[in-house]
Amino acid sequence: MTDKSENKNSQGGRFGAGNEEGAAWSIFGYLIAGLVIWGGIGLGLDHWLGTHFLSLVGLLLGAGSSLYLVWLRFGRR
Amino acid sequence: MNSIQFAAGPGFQPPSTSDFNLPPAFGHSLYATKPIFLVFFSVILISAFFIASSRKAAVVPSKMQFAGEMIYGFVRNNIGEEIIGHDFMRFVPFLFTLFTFVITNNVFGIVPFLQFPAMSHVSFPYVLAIFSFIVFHWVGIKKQGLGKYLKGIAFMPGVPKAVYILLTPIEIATFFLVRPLTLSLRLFANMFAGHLLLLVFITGGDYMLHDPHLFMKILSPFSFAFGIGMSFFEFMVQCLQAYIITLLTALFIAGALADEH
Amino acid sequence: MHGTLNLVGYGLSAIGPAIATGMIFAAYISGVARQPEARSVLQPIAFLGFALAEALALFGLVLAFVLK
Repeated sequence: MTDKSENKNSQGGRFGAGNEEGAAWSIFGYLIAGLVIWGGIGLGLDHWLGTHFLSLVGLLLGAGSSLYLVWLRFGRR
Repeated sequence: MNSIQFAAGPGFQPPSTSDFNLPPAFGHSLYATKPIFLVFFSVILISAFFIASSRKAAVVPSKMQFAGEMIYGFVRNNIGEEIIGHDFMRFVPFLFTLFTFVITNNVFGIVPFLQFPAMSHVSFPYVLAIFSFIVFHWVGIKKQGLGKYLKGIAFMPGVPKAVYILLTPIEIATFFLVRPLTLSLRLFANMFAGHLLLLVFITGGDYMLHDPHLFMKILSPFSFAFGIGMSFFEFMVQCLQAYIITLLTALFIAGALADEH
Repeated sequence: MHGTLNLVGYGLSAIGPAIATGMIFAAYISGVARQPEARSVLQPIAFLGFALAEALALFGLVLAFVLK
């Protein structure tokens, strides 16, 4: 059983396929985390400083940086 | 047409979240509710089935042994070996327990007389997600050491240093917050919505059957039929969700075992 | 009935990313099926496109809860 799985790994095809299935889920997780974290920081700053534009800035920043992170993880060759 | 709308208007109480808070089975004990009994029953059922199927294991398998081995083989080969790859046998017991436990409790949602998926109470998926969270972080820390593991999570290689201010909070939130939350909430939301959907069609059909208008009585079998059709759809969703939670746990373990991304 | 129209709007706006995601993966699958050696070229493109479409959907979801 072990030599079979090692054979699969050395070919690189099967293990890569497993990662591919997971990629969509982890992309979703990264995007949610980016929006929630930076959007939350922006919303908190809005409440603290009494402004209105910072939560939008935070959301855009979070979306942009999580897209950059997705590019780093999955788009870079 | 007007009278039908009037009849259908105020009378029907659509099922809501309060339908999930079942009363205690006996007395006033908060712990003796139907989901709790269903979970214990599922544990007994799973244990009895797999002990009975593997006790008289033979080279030429009986039907029961074949069924048990088929489920085990599915988890071991299609989830364990495909995703984790090398050194996957260590995790097969955990994945197999997770899969059988979740699928049994999910399918209880459409078994007559049981008819309640315990996973539609959010605390059960939370506990499962906590187990999976502990396992995959423990595996990663054990494999790479605490400092190296955390550094691998928090700092992407090959990025200018100023960008870490943006990226590190996202990475940490993904690994420690979003992953267990999405793992549990996906299972919970699917079971909750599915049970609510069945409740809407069955109670709606029941209400229409007891309506004084003949037209409503004629239409009510369609609601029941749709409820039965939705039950089969629910069966598919329940199996799929059990597969997905096991698959994602295996993927997280594989990610923690991988040395460098 | 209780609730807010924001969520109805979000439901409408989620149609676009849903169709986009379906088209991206359909094109990816048929591309890989025709030419399996092109997988390594197509995979990052497909996932970046998926990430962009998904970001729009999640943006709508967050704004549906944030906007008053």
